[in-house]
Amino acid sequence: MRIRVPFGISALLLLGFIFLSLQLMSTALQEASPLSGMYSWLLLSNSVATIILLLLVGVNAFSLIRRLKNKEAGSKLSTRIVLLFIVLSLVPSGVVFYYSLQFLNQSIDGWFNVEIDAAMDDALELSHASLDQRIRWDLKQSQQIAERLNNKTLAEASLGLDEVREIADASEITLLSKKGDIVAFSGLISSDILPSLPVTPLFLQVLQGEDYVALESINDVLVVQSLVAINIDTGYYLQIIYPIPERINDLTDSVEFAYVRFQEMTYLRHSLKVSFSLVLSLVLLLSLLASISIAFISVREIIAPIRELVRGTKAVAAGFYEELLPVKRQDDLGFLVESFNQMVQQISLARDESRLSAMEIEQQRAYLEALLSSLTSGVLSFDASLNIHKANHGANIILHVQVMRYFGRSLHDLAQGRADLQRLVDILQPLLEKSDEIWQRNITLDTPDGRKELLCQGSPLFSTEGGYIGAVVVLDDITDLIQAQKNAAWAEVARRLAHEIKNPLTPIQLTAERLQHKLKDKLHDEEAQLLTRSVRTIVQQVEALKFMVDDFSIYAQSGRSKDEKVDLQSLVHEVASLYDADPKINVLIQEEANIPTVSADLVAIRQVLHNLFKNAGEAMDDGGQITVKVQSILQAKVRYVRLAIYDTGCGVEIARAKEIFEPYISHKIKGTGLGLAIAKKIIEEHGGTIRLDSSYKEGAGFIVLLPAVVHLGK
Amino acid sequence: MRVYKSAYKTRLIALLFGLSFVQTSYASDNWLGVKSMSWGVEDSNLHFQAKLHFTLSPVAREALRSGIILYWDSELIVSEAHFFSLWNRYIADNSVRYSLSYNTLFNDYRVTSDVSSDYRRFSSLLDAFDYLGSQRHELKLLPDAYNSKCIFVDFNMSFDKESLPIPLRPIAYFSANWNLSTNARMKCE
Repeated sequence: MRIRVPFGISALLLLGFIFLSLQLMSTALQEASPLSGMYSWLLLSNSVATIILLLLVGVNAFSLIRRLKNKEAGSKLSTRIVLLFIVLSLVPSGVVFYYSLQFLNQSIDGWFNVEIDAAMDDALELSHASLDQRIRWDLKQSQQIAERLNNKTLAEASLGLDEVREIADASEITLLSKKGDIVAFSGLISSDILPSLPVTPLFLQVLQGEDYVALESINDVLVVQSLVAINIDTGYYLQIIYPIPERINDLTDSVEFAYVRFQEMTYLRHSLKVSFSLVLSLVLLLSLLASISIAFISVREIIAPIRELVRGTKAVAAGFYEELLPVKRQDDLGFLVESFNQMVQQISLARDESRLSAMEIEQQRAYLEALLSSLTSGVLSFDASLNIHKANHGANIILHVQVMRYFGRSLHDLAQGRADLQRLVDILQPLLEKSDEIWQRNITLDTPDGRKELLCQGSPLFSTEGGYIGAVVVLDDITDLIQAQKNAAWAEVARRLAHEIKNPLTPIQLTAERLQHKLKDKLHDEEAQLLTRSVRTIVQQVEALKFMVDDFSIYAQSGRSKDEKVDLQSLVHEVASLYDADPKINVLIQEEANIPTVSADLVAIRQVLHNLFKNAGEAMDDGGQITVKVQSILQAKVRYVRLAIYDTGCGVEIARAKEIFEPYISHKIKGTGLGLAIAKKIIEEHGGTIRLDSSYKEGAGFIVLLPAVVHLGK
Repeated sequence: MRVYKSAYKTRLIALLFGLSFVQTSYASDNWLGVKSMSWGVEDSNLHFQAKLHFTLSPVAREALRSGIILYWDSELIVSEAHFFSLWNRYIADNSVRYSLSYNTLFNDYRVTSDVSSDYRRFSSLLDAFDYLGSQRHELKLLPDAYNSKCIFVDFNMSFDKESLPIPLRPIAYFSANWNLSTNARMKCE
């Protein structure tokens, strides 16, 4: 676990350590200080601390440069603050350092001016002169004593030493032989048994005939030592030691000490400057590095919330609103972080609401789209420029065009190349452009699937502000509805015909036959033949009427009374064999293998086939060929059995093609005009379609599509 | 007897081991040097004599003339060789501290030692150098301390920079003028 020392404590520790170290070094600079022995160690420890701080600053600077290169958040601000810290600490420190050095150098130089130097030399010279005078005086006195003793015997001289010493105010008088042996001795201190003897070189010097006198230090006491020759017998030497007065001794010591100290200080003058400069430089460097280190540490503390803010901003920009930034401070930056958190929360709430609204709108749009898609009616919406804006699937089916390809384009573009749609566009466009209210039109279109009856309803669209924003048109294919209405009407007619006409036909036929039976033998041949011809005509017409009424009856009845699997191929062969028996008609069946069955009423489908074959046969009075094609096709993902019957008869005019499936429409001499109408009715009741094949030009051709029974796994 | 100016072999081995076995040495300076060394054992007493080339740099001379007292520590360490001289066994040592000063009043040089309270006066610096350059040590060895095994005798004449005035110390550490120390090692053949 990483332990983080708070900024304040770490800064205080750092500063405390530096101040303590510098204070110790400052104290150690004084010679009298007990720490003076540790000066070198303190200097070393401060140097090491400086190097450590330098490394710390270097590492931090390197890290900052790396962050700058990586363009990390807060790196530029950190650099500016650190630079500001450096400038703010360097300028005053530098100024203080410069003037301190100046002051120090001038102060040290001030200690060693020429006057003091000369005074010290003079003081020492004065001291030496004073002592020299004393020495000369003592030598003279020693020589005088030697002269006085010259006329005395050795014994007299020896006995008179105490008196002489007292007169001369000497501390010691020693009479020495030529060999340096002590002959007689007199000392100020009676306890001193042995005198302080001269060193051999001095004695040898005196033996050469030169008197000796010098300042000596005996037992750390300054004395004047003199050695002179006296002419007693073969020659003796007298050593007299004169004490230096205590006051002169002290003054001499004081002057010497001061002079030595001054000399030492003079010598250390340069070293002092270097040493103080070194310490000052160390202080400056340590202070500067400490300031920079604290700057780095404090910047890290200052920048931390800003970096957090940048991280938070990036997270918000990336769409993450969940994480809130920790508020660690109670200052302005803390307030900023808190405000940021509030802002993020509000944005998050707004985003959630917005997302919810968008979801609701999307749901409504999806619902509306599903609704429109499920509508069998075609819906077209237009923008203010009356370009197609939206369309549903129903519109695609009704108009037989992928309307979405024409989004943003006009109705004229939609009808381009489509003659069947041109009529629709010609009617709709003016209505869209001019109508300010809801309008309604019935429009008949001749499409590739046949005639279509469309109920068109339109309405202009206005915004909530009342501005025109476009229009909407709803197309309803009412062909089947109208057809159903017609079928129902025809069924009613057929039912009434069957009821009103068929019932009297049998009495009419029976009455006519009865008249013939009763009158045939009572009339002449000519009249009888007329009667027979008339009755035959009546019976034939009644039979014809019966057939017609039966057809109407069939048309009126539901064509699909039961469901069963019907093999259309077999049924085609069965019905075709009946018509193939006619020598004038040749029936050709073209079929694929594995034609699926259809679910249908076998009798009704056989009726359809009979009607189609009969229709073909009747169209070919002089004979011809009926071609039957049976195929399995896939149309709009639905499997169908396709039955096509072609004859080589007179064919159907295109202009009349629209009405051939209408009841009681026939262009032949024979027939009731219900054959194709019944076939159409039965096929449609089975979910199939029947249409005239307009591409076939050698006669008439009809195409029947019936849904196939699809087995699982196929 | 062979005289080694420095423990080069020891330092080389120590460097090879990469550890802190480096023995510092100032034997390569110009101001102090060991001219000759000899030692012998008599009645469990080790007698050591060394003749040094003893002089001072001009800077040191000037400091001395300016009243600054210079200190040396003359140290003799006797040890027994162990494990390629890496872990020598200490046997005995002796140390004498000398000071050299200049007396302005008497215009002479004085040498003191912690062996006696007296000081020696020299009218010239060369005389003082001669005195300081003749080093003698006498060590009392325990009976079992010295046997037929090979022993080392390390002699150090170390100038005490820490006794210099404080302002002079930093300079003394980095200036060759203050390299006033020497050392040498003797070992049995």
